[in-house]
Amino acid sequence: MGYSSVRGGLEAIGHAEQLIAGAVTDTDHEVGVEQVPGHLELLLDQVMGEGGLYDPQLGALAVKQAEGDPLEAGFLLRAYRTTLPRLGYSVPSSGRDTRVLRRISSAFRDIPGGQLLGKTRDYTQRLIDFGLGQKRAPSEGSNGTGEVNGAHATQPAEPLAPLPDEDEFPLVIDVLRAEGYMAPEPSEPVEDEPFDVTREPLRFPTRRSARLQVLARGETGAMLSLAYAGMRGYGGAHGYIGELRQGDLPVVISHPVTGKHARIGRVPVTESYQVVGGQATKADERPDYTMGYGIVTGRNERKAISMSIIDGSLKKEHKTGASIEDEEYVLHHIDAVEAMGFVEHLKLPHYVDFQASLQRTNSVRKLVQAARSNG
Amino acid sequence: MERESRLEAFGLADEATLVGMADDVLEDFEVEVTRGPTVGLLMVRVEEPSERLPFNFTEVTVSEAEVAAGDHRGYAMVMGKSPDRAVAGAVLDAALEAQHPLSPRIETMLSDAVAAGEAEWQRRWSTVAPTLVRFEDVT
Repeated sequence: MGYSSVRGGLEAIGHAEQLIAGAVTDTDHEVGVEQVPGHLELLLDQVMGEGGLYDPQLGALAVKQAEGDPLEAGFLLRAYRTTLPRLGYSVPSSGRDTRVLRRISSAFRDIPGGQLLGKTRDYTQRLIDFGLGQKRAPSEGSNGTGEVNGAHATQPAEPLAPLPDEDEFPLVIDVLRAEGYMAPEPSEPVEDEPFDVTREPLRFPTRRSARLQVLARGETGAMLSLAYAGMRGYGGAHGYIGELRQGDLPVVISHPVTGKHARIGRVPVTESYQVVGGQATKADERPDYTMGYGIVTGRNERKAISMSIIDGSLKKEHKTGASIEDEEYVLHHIDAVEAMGFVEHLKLPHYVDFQASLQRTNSVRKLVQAARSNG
Repeated sequence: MERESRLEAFGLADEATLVGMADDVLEDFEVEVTRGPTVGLLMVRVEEPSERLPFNFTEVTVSEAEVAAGDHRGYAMVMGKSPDRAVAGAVLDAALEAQHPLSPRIETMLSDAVAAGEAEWQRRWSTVAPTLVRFEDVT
């Protein structure tokens, strides 16, 4: 079975493209782009996070076009961003400046400001709500919970609550710092220009700023899998969540006319502060605890926690040899666009490659048969 | 309102109102667009809290414009793909710097936009405030 070059399939490809294009429009109940942020908020957040681009309108379009496939939608965002110029970098924002809408600690019960559950399914039973399948009047809510980031929030039953003070929710790690369990906060930020993986290819060993950027853009499932393996024993990564917080992070620029800091808006984020112990030894006086950090756009606690576990593992000085502690392994395998591209390229024609493989196999077969016939 | 606070106000204001106000200003106020309007990307940086290490977190789409009116510069950067909003913001920024007669109306409109943003934040906060845990000692 020899190989001869052929052409064709263009007509079939055209029809296949039409099927895809019609998949989201040829329906009696087409999903409006404006419905995505309100009804598929978690999917949208995942897409924008993995796409590395926060823009709810574009993200909603991508979700609709991709038929709800988060990896495909993230790919669309990554492709689109390459068509836009980079206008600049923001002034670094701190989680301390976040307007908090949820904030818990599983390490400490009594934390300054208290445990604010916010919008969470953590304490509910995972049972299908068949009531959602019933048609309701537009004003009728599904379960009475309030929205946090969505545009279709239900009105609170209670009168408006007084706003929290700006310092109502200090970072929980400050408690550990105050007790001397964790290194004190540096008085000044690190001045190194952060590595930008959208501008330069990764080189190993990387700087931590590059690692954090790749992790923030990583694929949720891949990072969850790594973190899970690390916790189960392949890396000893079972730490504690010092703090998990959701809220709106300010986006601040340096005003080009006055040179002063100016906020242009806010981005919803989830942060995870993973407290990792066992650092102190007899040989030195290092603080007992260090920290892994996770931050993602929107509400994606699974990824934020996974990121903080992976970051904490990559920071370890005494490594066990587990995959989660190997930055080259981790950073090369958590990017959704790269991973799906490489795995799914197998769908494209490999006729020549496989012909070559068959030829090798046939040659080996002949050699084996000849050897057997010669005794 | 301080000049730096105007940028967020441009983003919070109703776009039709903002553009309408800029059109009113331009009836007797000549400006030259010196930058944009451009839709582009702003890389948002975050400071990692244990080492205070800044890193590139995510990009956001932004729209940016700058105008000149005599000796005055007007600038606006707003989040999202919204070039009309950016140009209108830059015009109003220049008008305020030049103490245009419509400045009091512009200031009021921007203050109202910020107040509406704060009211929305309080509404959102009020939905989560009841989820603050109050532990009960049962020993």
